[in-house]
Amino acid sequence: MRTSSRPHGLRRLALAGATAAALTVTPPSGRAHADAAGVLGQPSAVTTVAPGVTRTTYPGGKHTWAAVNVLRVDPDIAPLTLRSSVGAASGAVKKVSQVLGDPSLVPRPAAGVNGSFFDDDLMNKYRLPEGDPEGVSVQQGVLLSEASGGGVLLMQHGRPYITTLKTDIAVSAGGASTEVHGINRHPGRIPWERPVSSKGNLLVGFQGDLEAKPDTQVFANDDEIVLFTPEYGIPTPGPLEGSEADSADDPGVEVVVDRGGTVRSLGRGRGGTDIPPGGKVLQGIGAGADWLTAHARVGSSLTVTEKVTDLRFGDEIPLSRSLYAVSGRLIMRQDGKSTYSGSGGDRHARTVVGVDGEGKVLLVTVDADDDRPGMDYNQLGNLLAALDATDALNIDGGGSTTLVVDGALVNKPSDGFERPVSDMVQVTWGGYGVQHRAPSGQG
Amino acid sequence: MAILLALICAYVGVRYSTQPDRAARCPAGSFCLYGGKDGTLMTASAPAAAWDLTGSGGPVRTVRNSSQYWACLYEKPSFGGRVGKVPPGGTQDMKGSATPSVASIKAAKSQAGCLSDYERCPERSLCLFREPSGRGPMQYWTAAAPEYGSDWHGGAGSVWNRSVQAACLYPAPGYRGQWTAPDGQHYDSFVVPPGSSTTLGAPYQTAVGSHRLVDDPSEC
Repeated sequence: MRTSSRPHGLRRLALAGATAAALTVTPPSGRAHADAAGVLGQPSAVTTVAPGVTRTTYPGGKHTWAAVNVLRVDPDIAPLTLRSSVGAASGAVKKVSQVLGDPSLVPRPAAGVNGSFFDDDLMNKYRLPEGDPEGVSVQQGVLLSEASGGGVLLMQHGRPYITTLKTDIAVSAGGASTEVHGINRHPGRIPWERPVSSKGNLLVGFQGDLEAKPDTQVFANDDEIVLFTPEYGIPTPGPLEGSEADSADDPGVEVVVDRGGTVRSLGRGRGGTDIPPGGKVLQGIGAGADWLTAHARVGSSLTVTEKVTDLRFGDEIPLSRSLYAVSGRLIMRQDGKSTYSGSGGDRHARTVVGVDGEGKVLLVTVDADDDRPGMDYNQLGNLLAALDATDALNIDGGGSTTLVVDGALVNKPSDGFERPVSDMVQVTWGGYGVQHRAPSGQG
Repeated sequence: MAILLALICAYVGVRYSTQPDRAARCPAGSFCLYGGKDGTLMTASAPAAAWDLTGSGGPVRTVRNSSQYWACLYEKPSFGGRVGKVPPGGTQDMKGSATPSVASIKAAKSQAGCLSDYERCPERSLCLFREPSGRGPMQYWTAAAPEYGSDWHGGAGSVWNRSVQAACLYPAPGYRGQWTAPDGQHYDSFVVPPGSSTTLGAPYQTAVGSHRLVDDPSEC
């Protein structure tokens, strides 16, 4: 279906621009760049990654960070857009460079960074390839993970909008309806970090790494229903045998629903089931298992409804096919003002996505290494102000901080290798030109 | 002399006192535009506000935003031309601003939202916009169009394909023509996947003369 000739024009333009720009290091003009230099020093490289995409690299020098990369993207001058990706399976972790460097992607995305904070406890403890996003994840208008209260990066029409969301999910069957507690995750598992306080609708802090119940890991709800969508991409998870938590090893029930919304099977026990294309699977534990057993009848209809509410403005966010989202924690800037008022916290490698006063998208990575721990929130806030960020969200960082340009890793992750992550933010093409093809018979 | 000074002070006092009075009249949740031939006050409630001010009776001189939304000001009708942005709670004196004249206005949740006006495009349509990022005059179709006739002339700055098929844009009527890029390469068509919205950029922005909707982009 796809031919390799299509992206050549875009890529040639990009490569020509990149080559020309890389020959000399000329700091970008403008007040924001001057302010950035005041915080970061002079850049070591300024590169045109693609038409409308500029990458500026600042060496760490004697600062507390190893390097800073700033990508500015202008959706007004080229067919660029901003989206997220979960790769082939939202349920499994993957490397940003593998997804964005996939040769079958035509045209190849111009650049990308790591995305949502994600739950790697299960990956580490049970050697499961899982990376549940900590909060909302949306792909092409499909809700892949429920809200947890942190900041959310909504991407639509090439520019980000940063807010906090609430998700309301319900299942109806057999004349009754009830709450669905989560999407594409182990039943019973809560978001592993929660906001400390709120200022209006704005969440202003997190407790740090939270083990909600140390004796039960973070399986805290024994009575849940969880929805699995085809985008999960791996078989549904089973009980975690040997876990101390009741909800983790509850055998529960599992319901398989086909594309038309008809229940195809209902069985005791859960896990190892492939989600049917266009269909869904629901798992229940405790009271959730009881509800599904009572109402989901084989051969009858089962529907799931989803509502996403913008907590800043109180309105519903339509799940349009052009909508994408990843989740973060701290909203660093909003409406041109700092929204961080804490004491700074620890220094880490950082990844931030935002937008500047001219409407250009900002992707910022801060690298750390053994000698330079990175930036705390105060340092990060100063940098974002200097970059003229009107709105900015701190997304997953530390060893997850990754910057990929033209399919290749270009930063130095603090672990010394590229960490597989849950999802990613990509600068990609909203459309592409088809090169002229000579009529058949004319070579 | 004292009388003259008193008159000047009284005049200055009146002049300076009008602005706070006007501002105070702007209802909460509204955009208020002051101007016109007789200092008319126009208000609209955000976020429903999406005005075309053509024929509204003279230039807007001051904009006060008493809402929690950004007030987006456009130099031309249909959200076209230069873009001004008034933050929540802010006031903009149009004299000397980026948009000294205001022809259309809308509400946005963020400053960046003022630069994107794709949301006018109806569902299941292919929409062309005269300017980048969905700004400026818009036209939409729900099927292929081998020629646009009087519907559309010349270039397009951006497109949102809200159909369920891939859209193929061509520079000339009859699904024909070529664009030539600065590097000399020629392009027969521009593919917009279903659901995608994007600025066209060079060289595609120069002319769009017809389009098809196809199931497989290789048919473009």
